[in-house]
Amino acid sequence: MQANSNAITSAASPHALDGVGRGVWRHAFLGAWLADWRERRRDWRVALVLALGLALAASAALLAALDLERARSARGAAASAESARWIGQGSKNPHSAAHYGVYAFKPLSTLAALDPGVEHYVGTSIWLEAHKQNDMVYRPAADGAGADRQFRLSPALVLQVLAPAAMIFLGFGMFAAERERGMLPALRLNGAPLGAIAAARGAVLLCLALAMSLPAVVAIALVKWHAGDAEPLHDAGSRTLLFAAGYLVYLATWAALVTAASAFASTMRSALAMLVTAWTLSNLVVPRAAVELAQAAAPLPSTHAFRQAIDDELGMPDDPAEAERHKRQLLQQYGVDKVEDLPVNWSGITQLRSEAHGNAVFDRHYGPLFAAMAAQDRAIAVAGWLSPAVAIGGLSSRLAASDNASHVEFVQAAEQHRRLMQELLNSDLARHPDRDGVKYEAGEVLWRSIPPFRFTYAPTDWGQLFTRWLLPLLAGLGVALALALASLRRLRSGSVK
Amino acid sequence: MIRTLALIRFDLRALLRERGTLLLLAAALLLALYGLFEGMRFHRHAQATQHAAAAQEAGARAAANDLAARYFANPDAPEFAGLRYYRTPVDVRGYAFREHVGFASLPALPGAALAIGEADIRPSTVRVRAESMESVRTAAEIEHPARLAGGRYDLMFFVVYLWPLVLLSLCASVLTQDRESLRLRSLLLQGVGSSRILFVQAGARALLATVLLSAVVAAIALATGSVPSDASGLQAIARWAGIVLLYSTFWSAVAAAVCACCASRMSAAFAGFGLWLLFVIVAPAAIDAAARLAAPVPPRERYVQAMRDAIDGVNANRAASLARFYDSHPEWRPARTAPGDVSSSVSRLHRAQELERTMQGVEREFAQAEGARAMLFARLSALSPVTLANAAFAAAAGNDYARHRRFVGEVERHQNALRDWFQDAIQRAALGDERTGCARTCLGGYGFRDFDRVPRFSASAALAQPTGLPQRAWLLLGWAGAFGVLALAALARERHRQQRG
Repeated sequence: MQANSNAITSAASPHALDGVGRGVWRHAFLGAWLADWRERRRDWRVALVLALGLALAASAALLAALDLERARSARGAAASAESARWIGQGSKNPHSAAHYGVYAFKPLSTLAALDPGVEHYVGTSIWLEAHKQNDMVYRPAADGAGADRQFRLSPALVLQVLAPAAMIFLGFGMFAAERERGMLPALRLNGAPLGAIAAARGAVLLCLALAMSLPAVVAIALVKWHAGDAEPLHDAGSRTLLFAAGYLVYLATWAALVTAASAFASTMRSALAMLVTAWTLSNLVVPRAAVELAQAAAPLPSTHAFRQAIDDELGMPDDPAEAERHKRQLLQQYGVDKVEDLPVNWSGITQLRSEAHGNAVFDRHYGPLFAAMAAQDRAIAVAGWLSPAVAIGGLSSRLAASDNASHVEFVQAAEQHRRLMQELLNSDLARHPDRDGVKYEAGEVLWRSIPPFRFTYAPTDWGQLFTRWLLPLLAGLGVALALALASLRRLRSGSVK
Repeated sequence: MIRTLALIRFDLRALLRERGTLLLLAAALLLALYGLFEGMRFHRHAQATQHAAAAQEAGARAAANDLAARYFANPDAPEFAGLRYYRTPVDVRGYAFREHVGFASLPALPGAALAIGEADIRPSTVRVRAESMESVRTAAEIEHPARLAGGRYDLMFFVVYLWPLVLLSLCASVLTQDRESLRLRSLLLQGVGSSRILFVQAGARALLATVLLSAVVAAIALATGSVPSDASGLQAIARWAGIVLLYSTFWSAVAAAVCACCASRMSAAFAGFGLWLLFVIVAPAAIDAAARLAAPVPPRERYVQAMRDAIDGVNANRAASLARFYDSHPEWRPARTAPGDVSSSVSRLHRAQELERTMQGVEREFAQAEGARAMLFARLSALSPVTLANAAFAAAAGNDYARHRRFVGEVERHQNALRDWFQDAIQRAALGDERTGCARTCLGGYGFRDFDRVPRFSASAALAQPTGLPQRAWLLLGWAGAFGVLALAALARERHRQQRG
């Protein structure tokens, strides 16, 4: 296992033997770095793992960039067509226009190419029409033709799952190989601080893993360059920086864990077993178990029960008695006997009342539904304290605006736009009574007065981001570093076997 | 034979003396049972949804019958003062387009709890509306999307992803430990060939573990009612165990090849983990990526736009299209109303049919693209044992893509029948209304009380019938054979080297 047998003999520079202190530590670090780097460069296994990793990362980045470009261009074209269709719908009664409605399409951030999050499993468009809060439809997964229940290649998969695995491959023998081959005494006698050697070897490992993120960086730069200003994020720059920093912390955590396990284990085999177990639990078992167990935090209703409850409550468009009172009040106010003689359109007023009633019903049902999903989000985030993969997964999809909370944000914004449309259309209808039995018809001026739906994700809530994902991620790094230090102490003063 | 049995007995005794092996098996069983629990929870939720849907359908029908009895007995009763035709079941227009409650449910197979498969993204209960298939096409159960994106933790996940690691760990010391401890030569001197040691020990270890897993899972599944305790349940368990055995055979062959090639347990563990990564994560992801690239499905945004264009077109040609409709159905032609003046609620189903006709080309394009991707994916899956196993478990549980497509096909036929039935009822009601000229909904006009005659969905017997062991699962044996040959070649090479040395 040449890939994991670091030569200690060349680790320390002559200066390292001169004494202690920061300078010595730095020299030892540089010496160990150079020795490790040189050795890894010569090792064909390292080249193989790196080449495979880079090929996968490049394919993932290319695929993600193509997917994003395709989705963005399709959604952009559809949104423009919808806008033109709305304005060019001709003269008609505003309520007919309200039923005609418009489709809204969810915008995607550039970072969503790196971490698609839940995008594949949520609808892409929503129909904004009178009387109904529709759900988002056309989930890409529904067109997946049976290919959707296994790992999907994405830069996030490469960075969250495969990069740590590559680090385990390349690093499990970092110290365990020396112990197994009886070279630990030589390492101790070497004189260079063990911490410096471990830091150097860990840093080399981290650099190798970071190399796997290069294709993603190139892809995002290309997509960003091509997309121009079509970014639905206010704070894309700070999100990107934190995105990169998050992955740096995550990979550094794994570098520290690999160092810790390799320094702690008595044999290379047990180091590998420890790391593979940790990786399997952290990256495969805990993330899935967490989302399953989160159901207990706030159970969700079935679609049919949910829809039935809304339909039952919608029942009649509004309270008939209240409507009757309102009508009498208007008749009295304008001094007329029949609604036909009112200077306002009673039908428009009824529609306004109906929409207000419907909105209250939707809020009563969708509010708790979204709250339950948010509670599940919080429950899932708790698992981030057990698994750095959960923490980085949550952080990266939140920053990429491809998580459930961002999706709900879009759904709520679309619903607000629907309500605005209905308000403007029904108010216009209410202002224009029918004349001589001829229904009022509005035209392009009214259609143009309704602003097109342009959605931008809300600025990042840094407090929530920190407590929910960053803190567990940093805590994970702290624990990994503490484990590495403890293992190095054992390596320095424990049994040589 | 006796020597082989002695070898197995000796090996298994030595293996079971190790605390690590027992801990590994215990942990594996716990993880498997948790997967079974989650599968069972999902299955029970799906069953509860089906029962609730059936109850809702029956309840709505009973309530409609009750309302119709009261309404037609005394339409002028105060309770009906605010009745609106489009919101009541006693008017055929209100019933057809709003109040009719009809569901279609995909019957669960006895082994459904053993693999969630695609059931979480393709709901087994869908609402069927007379007007169109839209409610079926866009049906989705309310789920936290992170659960769909991350994948389910079920028994299938455990077996496909984690079980190979257990098998590789159990088998990593076969032959390699003997090589490390220099005991191999003495064993060979006793006349036991290295290939026999390799295959017998790897096979026995994997078989023992697989039998243990299958027995424990079967016992718990039957005891907890996850699988019915009858012949169908036992068959489901047998099918599941058969796939587990095939899959375990493949991984034990991989382990044998690894042990044949590697000099030490450490390098065997290293190579085993590498191959696991390759087969479990990299190969399926690569196949998915290849299918996405080679057989792209057009973006749904284009479908939405095509549908909007089609709606505009149908609305613009309403009068001409209705004239054609009544030409082909003279028995429904209104006596006094011009086709262009027929009310929208009477022409609504025709409009839906016209929309469908206009959308046929686009629908075909999307269906062909989806079919092409499914076919390509199925072909490519032969290159990935994990994908083969995934598909086999899902198919055996009845939660696979193909079965759901068959279900949607049956729902489509039912929806067509339902629409035709309502079309006839509405057109005849419109003629009656023309004749009677009721001021409000009345029998002989739009009044409706034939709720029990409205077509209901029932799945075909074939859909409720479990399939045998999926044929493609047998390809796993081909993969196992390939790795077996690789192992033999590695041992032959080693022998050759030793002889030369």
